[in-house]
Amino acid sequence: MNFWRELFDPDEPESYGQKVQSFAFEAVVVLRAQYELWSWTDIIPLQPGIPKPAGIARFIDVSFMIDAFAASANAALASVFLLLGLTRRFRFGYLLGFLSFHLQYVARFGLGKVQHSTNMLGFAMLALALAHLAYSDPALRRKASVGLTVLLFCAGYSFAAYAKWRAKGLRWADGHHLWMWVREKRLDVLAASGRPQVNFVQKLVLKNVYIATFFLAGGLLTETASALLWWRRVRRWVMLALAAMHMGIANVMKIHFVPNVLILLALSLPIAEVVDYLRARRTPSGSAP
Amino acid sequence: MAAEEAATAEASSWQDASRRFKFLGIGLLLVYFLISRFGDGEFWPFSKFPMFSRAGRPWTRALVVELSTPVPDASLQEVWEKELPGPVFPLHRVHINQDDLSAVVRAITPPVNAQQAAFLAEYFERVRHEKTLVLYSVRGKFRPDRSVRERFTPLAVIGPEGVRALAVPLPEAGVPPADAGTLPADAGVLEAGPAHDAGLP
Repeated sequence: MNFWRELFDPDEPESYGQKVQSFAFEAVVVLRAQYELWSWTDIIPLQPGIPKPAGIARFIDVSFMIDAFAASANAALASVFLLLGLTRRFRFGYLLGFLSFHLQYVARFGLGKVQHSTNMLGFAMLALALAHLAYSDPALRRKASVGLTVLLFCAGYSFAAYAKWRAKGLRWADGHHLWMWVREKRLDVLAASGRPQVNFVQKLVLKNVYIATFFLAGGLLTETASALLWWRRVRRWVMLALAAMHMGIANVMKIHFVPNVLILLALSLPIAEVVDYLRARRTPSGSAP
Repeated sequence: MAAEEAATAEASSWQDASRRFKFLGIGLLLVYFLISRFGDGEFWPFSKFPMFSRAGRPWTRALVVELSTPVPDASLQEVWEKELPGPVFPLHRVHINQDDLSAVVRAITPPVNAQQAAFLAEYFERVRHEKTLVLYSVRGKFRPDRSVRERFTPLAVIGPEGVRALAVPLPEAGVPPADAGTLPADAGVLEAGPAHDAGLP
């Protein structure tokens, strides 16, 4: 078994369905990036400044971005660059789109709390940027962008699991910890909307600490299993489990990792198989596809 | 002969493609490791993803309450949720993200200083000329029986005249009511005051 071939196999023939699935992955990344860029554009000008700079803002002053025109112009630039990358009109499209997105991110999250739900989106954009710079062949670009995305997802989720194991070990899964987070999130919802809202699943975990422990143990196990993303044979199932974990987090803790779920589903749902199957059915037997 | 040469060239180009991928992969992992090892481990999109690793630690969040009638500053003390002096002001009405405001509040060691007051005045600029608000720092932590208690500490009054820092309240003041802040069964029905429906600019 070749360790790196699990992520990138240039010899492997590529089916039409796999091309469609790769395009779906790219489209999800580019479209979700548009959503994030433009939703931040509304908030950035309302912020009083950048008291706790993040990313590149630690090294250069980006306070010029706290302005409606600057934020909109940068969002437009990033959108155009990413669309040029998606449509293969500009080789540097993904790279420049990624850099503009970073600028928008540091302008938006300079108040002391960084957001983690777009990190995986950033990984995917970075992977696309590097794949498009390193390869000219369309098939190799597709394979490399997916391979590098999987590599970064594998590293990112493994880091998250390691942080939990290191901090608390198996005790991390104690359901009382989930009580703390649910209460914290309830407070956030109250602060944002003016109403305390606790949904059915939250009530359930708050009523029974064993159910809360079950939820946390499931999350810890799933994140720990993310190291297995490297291996193709189990990758789909680990990705689906991670997507399910994020959906669970959205329900229990009201924290939405929408980009992660979209990318995980775009890469793990059997889109290629379904497309190839439908295509084979439509092709008369005996004729070349 | 030509076919052999073509096959060799193709094999070499695949090898080159694989080598390039390995180089990119190792480079990315190295960058990721260095970023996570030094500094605070955050440089978007790279992160150590430490959220939720600090399980069970006390947390601090922000909450804003609207005062319908003026109250003396001295009456604004550390309270339980049921004792808040008015309805919770919904931050989404003024596009303030509660995570951002909580980060700002976490950085404040009472009393609010002049620089922080100026920052808050600008942050609430779109609403403070029409409403009088109280900014609370809410601290949640485990009780000995591992239920969760939440105390609401007023930090500042935000109004048309600006931001007025409140005196440092005595920590943990007051005797908790029997059911204050308890978990879990009544978590959905704690009274925090109705949403305020008055329009905002």
